[in-house]
Order: sequence, then C-alpha cells, then structure tokens
Amino acid sequence: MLESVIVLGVAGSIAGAGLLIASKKFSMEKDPKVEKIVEILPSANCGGCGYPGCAALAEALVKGEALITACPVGGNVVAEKIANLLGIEFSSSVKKIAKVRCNGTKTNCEEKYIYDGPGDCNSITLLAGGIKKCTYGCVGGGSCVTACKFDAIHIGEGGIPIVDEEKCTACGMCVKACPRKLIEILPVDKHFVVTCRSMDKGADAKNFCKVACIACRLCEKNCPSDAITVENNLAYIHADKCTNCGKCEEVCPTKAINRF
Amino acid sequence: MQRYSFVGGIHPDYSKEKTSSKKIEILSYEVGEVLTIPISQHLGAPSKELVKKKDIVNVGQKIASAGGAVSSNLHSPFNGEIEGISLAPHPIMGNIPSIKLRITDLNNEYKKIETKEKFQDTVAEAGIVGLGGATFPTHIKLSPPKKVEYLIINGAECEPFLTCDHRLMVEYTEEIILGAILIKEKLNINNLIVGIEDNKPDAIKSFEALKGKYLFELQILHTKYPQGGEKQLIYSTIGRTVPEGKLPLDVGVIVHNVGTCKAIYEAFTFGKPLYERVVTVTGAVKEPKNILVKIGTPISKLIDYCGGTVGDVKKIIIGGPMMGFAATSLDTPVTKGTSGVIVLRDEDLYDGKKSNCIRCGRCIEACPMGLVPAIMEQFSIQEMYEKLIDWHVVNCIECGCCSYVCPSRRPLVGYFKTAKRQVINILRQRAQK
Amino acid sequence: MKRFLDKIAPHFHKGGKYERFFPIFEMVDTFIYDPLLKTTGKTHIRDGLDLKRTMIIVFFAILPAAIFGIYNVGYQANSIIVNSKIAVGGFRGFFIDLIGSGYDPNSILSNFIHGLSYFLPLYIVTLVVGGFWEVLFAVVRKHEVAEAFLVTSLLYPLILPPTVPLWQAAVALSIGLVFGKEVFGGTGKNFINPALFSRAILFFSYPQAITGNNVWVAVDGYSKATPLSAFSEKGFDFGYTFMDGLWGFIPGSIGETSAVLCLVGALILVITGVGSWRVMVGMFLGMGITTYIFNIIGSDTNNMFNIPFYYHFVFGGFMFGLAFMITDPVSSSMTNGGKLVYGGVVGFMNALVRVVNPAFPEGTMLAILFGNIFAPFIDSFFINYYIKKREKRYERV
Repeated sequence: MLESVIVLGVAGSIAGAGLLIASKKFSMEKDPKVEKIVEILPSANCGGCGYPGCAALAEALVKGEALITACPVGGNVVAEKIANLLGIEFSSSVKKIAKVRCNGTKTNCEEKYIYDGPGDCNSITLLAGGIKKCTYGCVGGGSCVTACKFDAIHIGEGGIPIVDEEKCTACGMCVKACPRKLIEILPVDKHFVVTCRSMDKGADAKNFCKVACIACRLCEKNCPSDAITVENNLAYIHADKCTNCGKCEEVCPTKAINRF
Repeated sequence: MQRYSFVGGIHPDYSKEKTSSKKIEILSYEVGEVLTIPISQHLGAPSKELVKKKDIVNVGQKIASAGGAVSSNLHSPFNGEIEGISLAPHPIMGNIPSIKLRITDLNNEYKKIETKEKFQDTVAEAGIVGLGGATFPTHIKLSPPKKVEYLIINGAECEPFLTCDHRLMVEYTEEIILGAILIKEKLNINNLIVGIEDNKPDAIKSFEALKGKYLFELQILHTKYPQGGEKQLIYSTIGRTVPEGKLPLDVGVIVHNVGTCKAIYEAFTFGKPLYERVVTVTGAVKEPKNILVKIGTPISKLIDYCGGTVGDVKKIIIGGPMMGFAATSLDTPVTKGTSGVIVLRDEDLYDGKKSNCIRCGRCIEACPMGLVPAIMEQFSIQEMYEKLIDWHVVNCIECGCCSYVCPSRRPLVGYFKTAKRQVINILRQRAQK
Repeated sequence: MKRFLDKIAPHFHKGGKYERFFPIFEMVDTFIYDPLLKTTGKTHIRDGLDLKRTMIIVFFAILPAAIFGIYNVGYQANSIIVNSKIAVGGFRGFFIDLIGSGYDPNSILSNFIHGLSYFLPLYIVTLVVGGFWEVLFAVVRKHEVAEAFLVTSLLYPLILPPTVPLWQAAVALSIGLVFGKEVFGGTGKNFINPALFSRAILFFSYPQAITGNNVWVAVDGYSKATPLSAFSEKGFDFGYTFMDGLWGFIPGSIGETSAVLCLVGALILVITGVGSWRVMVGMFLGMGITTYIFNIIGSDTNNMFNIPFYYHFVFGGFMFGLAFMITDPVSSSMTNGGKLVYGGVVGFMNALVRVVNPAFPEGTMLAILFGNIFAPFIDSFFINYYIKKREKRYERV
C-alpha cells in the first residue's frame, strides 16, 4: 500500500515538474492587444472576414493588415470598439444583409426532371443545366444553407432560400457557396431588388419562368433617379443611387422586382 | 490468343443481344419535318452560325463554323429552309441555341466539302469529332506536337446496351480500316492496333478476314467495363500507363473510335461532311434497332420508328447507361455524340435508396484507375476540394464503376464529377499564381 | 444467383414463407421516407447487390449454423438431463411441458424445441433492444432506419452462451450499440463490430454470465467446460476429437459450435460476393501459421502450445468469426491488400490470445476487436503505398 502511494506520488511529481518546465520554456509571448480584440470579436469563427477564425483576424488587425470593418458579423459596434482600442478613427456604415436574387419557386419555374443524386447545388447545376427550366435560377439544393454559420438562411416552401434579416450578418459565405451567384450582399435599407438573374432573351426567359426579367426596360425608363440599368437582358438596381421610391416594382410587368 | 486487361472494372449485364445482330437501318424522313441542330455538339467553344432565318440550305452546306481553336463545323443534313435560331434542349447542357431546319426536299446528294492541302484541315472542314461520345474535335487530336508511335482503334464498345460501333465494325470493316490507315500514313505512325472486346466475335471475324489485305494488328480484349476508356484501352493493348493530367499523346499514343475512322475515310475520299451517325435505340421499345440518323432528329422520332415504347417508361438515356445522361425532354435532338437512346421502365431501374457507406470497399476493387472512392466521397461531401487533390481525383474518368457496385446506392461518381470541376478550378488558380 | 434472390425476396412479403420478418422490412421501407424520387443522375444501371439483398444473403448464410446451434443447445442440455434428471424450471420448462416435446436427446424435435426455448427469447430481446435504439436514433437524427441492425441482432445471440440472463444481454447490447455504433453516426460510421463490442461489454461486466464452466450447457448447476478451456486445463485428455469440433456436437456459444456449417456460410458469402475472400484467407493463414509456430516451440507448462494447429480451426469461435464477424465490411479494412493484412492480424492475435494467455481460451472476439481498431491504420498504410507506387510509375513515363 505505502509503496504504491510513494511510487505514484513520485511519478506524479516528476511528470508535473516536466510539464511546468515545458510550459515555461515553450511559452510564447502574446500581444495583449490581440487577446483584447479576440474578446471583442463575436468568436463565431465563421471565416466571413477571409481569415481562418477570429484569432487570426485579431492578429491581422493588430498588424494593420486588416480593415477595422473586416468583421462582417460584428458590424458597427465591434468595429467601433476595435477602432477605439487601436486608436483609429471610425465612421459607421449601414448594416448589410444577403439577398437572394431569384424568385423561381416551383410554381413560377417548373422543374424539368426529378433529381436523385448528390444534393449540393454544384452537382445539381452540372446535370443538364440544373433541375429548373431556367438555367440561371436557384436549384434549391441548399448549399447556402449549409454554408451559413448563423442559421440565417433556409429553403422556403417554394424551394428558394429565404434570408432571416435579424440573424444575417452579411458574412458572405452563402455568396461564395452559390454556384449561380444568385446571392448578393446589399444594404438592408434599400428595399428593391431585381429577383432574377436570367440572361436569356425576353421570350425564352418568360417561357421558362413566370417571374423572369424580360429586359423590357420599363423600370429603366421609369426610374426617377437613374438607378437601374439593363445589360445582358437583365435589369440591375444600383443600391447607391436607389431612393426606395418603389416605381420600378409598380411598372414591372413580370413582377421580377420585389420588395425585401 | 492472349487477352489483356486492366485492374478493376466491372461486369454489368450487357443486354447487347437485342440489337447486336440487327443491320443498320436508314431512318426515313418526310418533307416538312423540322430538325433542331444545336450549335454546340462538341467539347470546346460553341460553333458560330453562318445562316439566318429564311435562308435556303443544301445537303452538306456549312451552316455553322468553328468558334475557336477547339471547336468544329456543322453541316446541313438536308435541303431545307432555316426556320430560325432559338433555345432548345440539349442532351448535356440544358438549353442551347439551336438552328431549326425545315426539310424541303429529300434529295440525298451532298455538296462536297472543300478539300484542303493539309489532311487535318480537311478533317476539320468536315466537322468530324470523336464519335465515341466524348466529341472532342478530331483535327486537334490529329495534330500531335510530337511523334506518335501507336494508333489504336477503339472497337471495345464496353458500354452496356450500345451496339452502334459493333454494327459499324461488321458492316463497314473496310472503311474503318482504310480510315485508320489514312491516319497512320498521314501522321507517319508505325503501329496500328485495333482493339475489340471478345463479346463481338463477328466483328473480330470481319477484321481477321482483312488481315492479309491491310497491315494492322488485331488485339482481342477481355469483355469488361470500361475496357473502351482511353486510358484502359492503352493499358490493355500496349501496357502503357497515361500519367495523371496527361494525354495519351504523352505516352506516344492516339486513340480513335471506329466511327471516327469511318467518318475520316468518307470525308477524305468522298468529301462527305459529318451530318449523320449510327444510333442504337434499345431498352423498352417494341423493336430495338441500330439506325443511321441525321444530326438534329428529335429522339421521339427514333423511338416512334422502333415501334414506340413498351410499358411504363420512367427514363430515357442518351448515350450509354453508365456514362450517358437522362434526357429531360423528348424533343432533345440527336447530336454528333449521341451513340444510343435507351428507354428504361420502372422495373429496369435500380431500386433501393441511398444509405450510409458501409466501407465494404467494393468501389475500391472496381475502380479502374486505382482510386479510393469511399474516402474521396467523404471529402467531396465536406467540400474539402484542396484535400482531394492529394487523393488524385483528377484521375477519375467518371466511368461510374463505383456507383454501379455500391450496395448503399451512393451517387459516388456524381460527387467526383462536381469535385473534379472544383479541383481543376483550384489547380488553375494555383497555376495562375 | 440474381434470379434465385429475386425468387426469395417475395417470401418476405405478406403471405410469404418468412412473413414474420415482413413487419421489419415494411417498417424500414415506409418509415419516415416517402419514395417520391425517380433518378436522373449519372450511371443509370446498378449492380443487383444492394444493402437489402446483402442482408438477405447474410441471413441465409447464417441460417444453417444457427439452426444447428439451436439444436445443439437442446441436445447438450437434454443429454445431461436424461442422465441426471435435473428438472427444467421457469418459463422454459413450462412451455416445453406445454408442447410436450420432452427431453429426449435422441429426438431431433425435442432437442430443437429445447434449444429454441433458449435462443428465441434471446433473439427477441436482441431484436427489440436493437430496434429500439436504431429507431430512437433515426428519429432524433432524422435519418432513415438502417436495416443493418437486423444483421447485428441476428449475430449477437449466436455468439452468446445459451444461459446468459436476458437482462444482462439487453444491457450489454444497449451499451454496445449506443457507444459502439450510434454515437459515431450509426450504420457505416462505427469502427468496431457492434455485436462483438456488446459481447465484450458482457464479457467484462458480467464475467460469471459468459465465462467459466457453468454457462455453456443449458442446465442449472451443471458445469462442463468448452473444448478449449478443457484442453487448457487437461491437455490431450480433454475428451473431444477433431471431428467433434468439425461437426459441432460440443458445448459452446449458440451459433459457433459447428465449424463445417460456419464454413458453408462462409462459402455462400464468398460465392455471392458479399463477404470478402481476402479477409477470410488472411485470417485463416494468420491463425494457421502462428499456431503452427507455437506447435514447434512447444511448452511444458502451457497445454495450449501443444494443441495441433488444425484443432484451432474447429474449436471455439474461430470459424464463426471467420465467416460472419470479420467479413463485416464496416469495421474491416477497405483496400484489397489491406483486407488480407487485416485478416492476418486478426488470425495472429486470435492465436496469441488463445495460446499465450490461458485466462482467455476463447480469443476470437478480442482478436477481431483488436483488428477492427487497426483496420483504418492498415488502410492508410496501403493507400499511401499505392499512391507512391503510382507516382513511381509516372516517373518511368
């Protein structure tokens, strides 16, 4: 009994001493600023900033490699705190969220075939131009849902993803995940978006999807602030010029412009 | 005779007996029918259309020209009037701008193509692409930057159901050999090998009969899928391995399909452009047939010609059942790469739903490229494409052996198809940096 | 073969021979999942061998060994009862009296029913417990019920001694299934064989239920050692011949006594392509060579060194493990070379545990679990080897 206690005790203290020495010897000096910034950052480790996790961003911030607004999740609050900490001036920006520019729900845009294969959007789009008749629209595979770390995007009833405005942090992971580039990060206070990306000619686009943009240019003509341009058979609303007047939504004959 | 083979592969139910002894029939057309000719029928850039609405065209007239270095010409299969150019379904690519041609007269005499000085240019002018299914423009394959040692003629036709190449080999043996010898002489290649699987004894016989007349080597291969895959065929015939990301040319070989050889022969000797091909129509149709079809014919016409469908049709495949694509519309036209139309009923399709991988390793055993599909699939699902580079996913030939054997019914090859595109993108970005 | 199986499959449906299993198959078919999809992917034809068919084949491969095992349990018990007149109590005695089949060791029916009275409760408990966990995890994790638990549930009772208390079997199976399989993500994600893992839990938690000499014959208070432990104690006077082991009229776990019928099962699996011949050959060679070396070395103190190497094949759980346990694809190696080595490692460990460690004369279970743990390592080794070989081949070009 006593022997075993002694043996274990000695073994334990030797191991403990070893650990102590190792921790002293191999300890790394850390910039206290980095740790403080890590505390400020949301620690979601989403990667939305382009760095591998919040700690990496914090280091980059201290080194001056990253912008103080680099964290899309934290928004103004975090940016301001970081600015104070690093002694940099900061001017606030408007909150942005992801907006899905397709309204090709199952009723609006019919499916061509019944798909059974790998479920991600990349795979679905490879097969005969996707499951929908429109070859530019959302295939509803949900790659954006998997990419979202904040549970802010879900496939709605029509098979098209719907963004939860509250939860969305504009980290941009869904934008990267979408093989059709349907999702765009836009300011939350600009309400009108062309929910179509079809570059087919008007007649074809209309044939494939009920709510497609047919490039009739009515919105372009009627926009009082010249915020809309039509290129490649597709209208686009420039958020910086848009005044939220809602004229375009009224005139659009195919309801391809929607309020978010 | 010794039979060579590669490691891996599968032995599916070939179902070739339905059409393998049926002579090639010529599909008849009527005045007024409309053909849809997609402007992209090959790998590479789409062709540029040369005609516009209400133009009158003749048989063999060039209606679209190559739209880039890797591209090919298109020729009109009939005398007719252009109805316009609009989007139409394509077997692989969704919706593609297509030339609509209304037949005005059934005259079959084609306008000869201009014969160019260079052999390769004549082939390009005739719009010949690889007729095995990959549809790579042939003139590029015929312009090797270095000396070629072997010309291999691919008569393996390992895809189940299909017999179009088989019938060509029986009925047009001499044309195929002459086409092959043409390539051999023009490119100054020393060895000509014809590889045929041993489940086509009549084709082997017709080639053996010509042995005294022409100089070529006949290599009988094991019946195994994918024996007709380029890399597998090269290994089975001359025992060379094509390295990852390299072309057969890098090991001194070019491979051509028997149909391509025939097309080259016809283009060179008669000046005939490529506007028709043999298509096997089989599966759940009343009378399965091999038919000589003009490019642009909708597949519904082919099925009608074979007496219509039998039973509750669930799926129509364009190409072979292993590598082909399911048609999304009956109006899909026959293109240069369409080797078969297979009609499948509910009972012909596999049942069973996707379940978890049970790590049985059957995919590893079956993979003809020696890859590890079971593990690669996990990386694909997690979208860890960087990691997949180390697992040599680029080597995947998308033959579908892994999907075929999987007892859990996992769509393995589907994942690799996606993964390959992504990995190639990543590699391209790396190369740019 | 395909046609044969197509013919069998209807028997599982209503009115068929094995209607008993129908609810299980049916449940699996329509549970949660609504088969709306029609395929439009790549590779439009598939091999006939899918999971369900695999399991049906495994079921039929096990059947001969299982039926014999049930008979043998009854036979062993009856031949003791006839001489010693020990009464069979409890519900088993009640039912056997009710049927009136008696305890005659010469009557096949009597033996079979007596055996069944042990096997059936065990099997039902296993099925209920196994099914419960599978369904529970399926519901919580929102995936389909994987049919694979049916195979586990069939294998598990067969590797237990007949007298094991039902509640102990259930507890061990629960722990085995949850921690050996479900926590890793269910079917296909586990790295050890759940049936064997459950048995190992039982082995170490309730040793009196599964070891010693009292458990192998289904008669209360009667003790008879298994051939291997008998040999370990007594040497060559252990009272069994090679042929006894081959045919299987010996005490032991329910399913594993008859080597020849296990071999039949192994053959069925190899011919249909369900089981890998590579692991079987590997295990056979591993066991044979190692025990042969032990034979040559010899020992005065440990009898097991002297048991002829071919005796090892027919006694204990070796043949059952060879046919049904290491061929479990989930926990074995995947690569072709890896399979051979994996089998070899299991065979070697089996011999080592049996011979060198006299406390565990039945080493198959531990050896296979050991092999399971090493399987991914073996795979990784082989894959790296293949990749290196491929790169060398490219360099040559």
